[in-house]
Amino acid sequence: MKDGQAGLIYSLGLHVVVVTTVWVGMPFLSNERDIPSTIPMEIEFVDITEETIAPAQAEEAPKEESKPSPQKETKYAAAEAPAPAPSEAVPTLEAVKKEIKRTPKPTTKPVVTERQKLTARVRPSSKPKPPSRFKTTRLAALIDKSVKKEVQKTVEAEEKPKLKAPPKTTVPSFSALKAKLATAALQDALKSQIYGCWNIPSGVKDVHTMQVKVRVFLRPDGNLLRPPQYVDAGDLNAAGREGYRTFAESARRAVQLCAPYERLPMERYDEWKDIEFNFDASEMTG
Amino acid sequence: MMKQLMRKIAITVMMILGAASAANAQLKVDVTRGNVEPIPMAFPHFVPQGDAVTAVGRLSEVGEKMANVITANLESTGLFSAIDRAAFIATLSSDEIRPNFATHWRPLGTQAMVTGRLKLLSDGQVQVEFRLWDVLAETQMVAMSYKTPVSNWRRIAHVISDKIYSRMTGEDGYFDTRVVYIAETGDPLNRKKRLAIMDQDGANQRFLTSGDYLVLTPRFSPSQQEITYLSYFNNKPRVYLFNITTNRFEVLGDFEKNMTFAPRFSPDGDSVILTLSEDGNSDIYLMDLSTRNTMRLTSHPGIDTSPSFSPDGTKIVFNSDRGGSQQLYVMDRNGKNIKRISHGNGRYATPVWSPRGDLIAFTKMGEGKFRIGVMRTDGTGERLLTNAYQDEGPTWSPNGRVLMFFRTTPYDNNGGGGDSSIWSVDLTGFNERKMPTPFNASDPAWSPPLPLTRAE
Repeated sequence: MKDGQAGLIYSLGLHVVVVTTVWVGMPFLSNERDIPSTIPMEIEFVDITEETIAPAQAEEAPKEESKPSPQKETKYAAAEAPAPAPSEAVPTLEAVKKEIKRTPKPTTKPVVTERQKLTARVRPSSKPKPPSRFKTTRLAALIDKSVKKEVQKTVEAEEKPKLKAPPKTTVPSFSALKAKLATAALQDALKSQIYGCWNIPSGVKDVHTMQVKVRVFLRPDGNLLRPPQYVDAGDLNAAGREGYRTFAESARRAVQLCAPYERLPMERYDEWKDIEFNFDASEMTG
Repeated sequence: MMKQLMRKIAITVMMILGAASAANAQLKVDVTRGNVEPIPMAFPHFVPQGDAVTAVGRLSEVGEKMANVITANLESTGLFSAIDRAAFIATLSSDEIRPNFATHWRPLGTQAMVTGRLKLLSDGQVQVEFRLWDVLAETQMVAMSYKTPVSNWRRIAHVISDKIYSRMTGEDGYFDTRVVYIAETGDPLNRKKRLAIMDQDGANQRFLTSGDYLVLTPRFSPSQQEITYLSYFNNKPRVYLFNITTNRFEVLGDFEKNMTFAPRFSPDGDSVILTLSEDGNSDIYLMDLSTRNTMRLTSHPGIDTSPSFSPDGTKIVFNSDRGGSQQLYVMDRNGKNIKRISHGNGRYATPVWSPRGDLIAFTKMGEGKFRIGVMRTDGTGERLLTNAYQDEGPTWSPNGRVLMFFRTTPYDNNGGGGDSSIWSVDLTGFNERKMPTPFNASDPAWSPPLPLTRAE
């Protein structure tokens, strides 16, 4: 009873945490638009910037991805995965979700053979005891050699998920998390640089409703390969769009003033050679 | 149940995130912060094509003065900063149309620049041509040429300033405008109050009335070069109409023993809204200027005064003490639907609806001070823009970005103080500037843009 209650309380608490995180984090789930949309953004930036802006960290990420991960497969990847998480609330959440998503895949696949369906039907209540199943399948193999191959496959399939399922699920999410962090590091380096270059035309009417995307192509030395382009900005010279044009031009000027973009890791050039900056003045109190 | 729901939510969220990240091979960066700083610009002197001598000096001097007026105008907005001409790497020649941006101008840190040329024509007129350049993109943003008698150089400099301002900010300029105000001379007990006018930058000061009679609350027509004001001409306080271009004035309706005050034009300039005081009770009236018919809009035992139209002409803001203290109210053009909009501590006076339509400026009295503030038209978002001892009487620039008002210094024990002067402040509350006036000055009223008979 007590255990059950504690479990219930624990689970309720966890649900509350998850639901509130989702509620606060996902704007479309909440009705109040003003305050929540700004506050979480602020938190996001500060944390990542401080964490990832250090060049050492940014370089670490890609290296670790290739080598140590296979080793961890055999170890306690599940236990270790959360370790890099404390830096961020968002990645942790994602990691958790990844696990949830990936676990079902390997477990559902093996349950294809009729034999297993049958065995499942025979003993529905108790948790399957691997040894007993072993025996039945081996018995079948002895009786009929034609099914041997198939049976052995299912055995492996049965066994593997038990042992490997946890590593398989966590390792990709771990490296994905790493990659995400590395990308976040790139984004933050660019963000912190562009902040200093953007002169927001704060007096433009309704500027806090404005947003413009500017695409830049960078050379390896960080200079602009060609003039920046607006993405889906329409005809800026159209009548009635003068204020928006001023806003868009301020964004275009920012990406030009900021060049050359230095401090970006060369080995990730493929990732930053084509950047889309999304300038958003919604946090301005226009 | 709960677990399943949570799992569903989590999976949905994950799928959304996954889809979002899978779609971009391109690196996306959200930029949500920046600075608010003046944009550095370069204003080289306008270059003469043949340095002829004109009625107002050599063409090269005119070119210098024009560039200086344009620089002062744009710098006064606080949105632009001018790069010191002493730092320029190169001077422009009269046949150089496209400056060498990369080597001469970009190194100065300038982001935009204005070049201009002057040419004296055979008919004695001068041709002024200017170009606004985007130094980073190396493109021409706007260019224009004007032909005018050379004596108009200052006017043309304002017109050019407006073009530059409007191209850079996306809003109409306000440099080719004037301001009427009350010039005060003499000791505080026997002060002469005369109607005066000046350019928006303080140039071309002129008196419009003699000073034999008291003049108060001048207000510009939003559509014409016409002023309405209160005058004690013949010792009777009445509202007058004054046409600046024809120099003629006339009394607005004769209300016999009644007093009229606080006049203001409707947005189309065809009627005037004013306060009429009858047996100590003040109410708001609308007068059609062509027929001189009046319509009573409010009838309340309290004092209703200082009416001001919304730019679309459908609503009127005014102040009234009907609720116990002086507060701001909004009503329909016909006097219906009266609604109180001000709810802060203190009293509110002289409301003025912004030409942009989104804000109402006012004088707020409280905490021992008079301050200028703005609020949205429903009364929300109140902000005080100034914080001196006594600021009052706001008037909007025609584009709704700047306010002028007058500031009075406190009296001291030695009989000093009490001096008034005109100031301007940006809508954001920054960039407070004192207007240069030869005498004490109060009650400014900003004109609409001056008419241009020959442009482009």
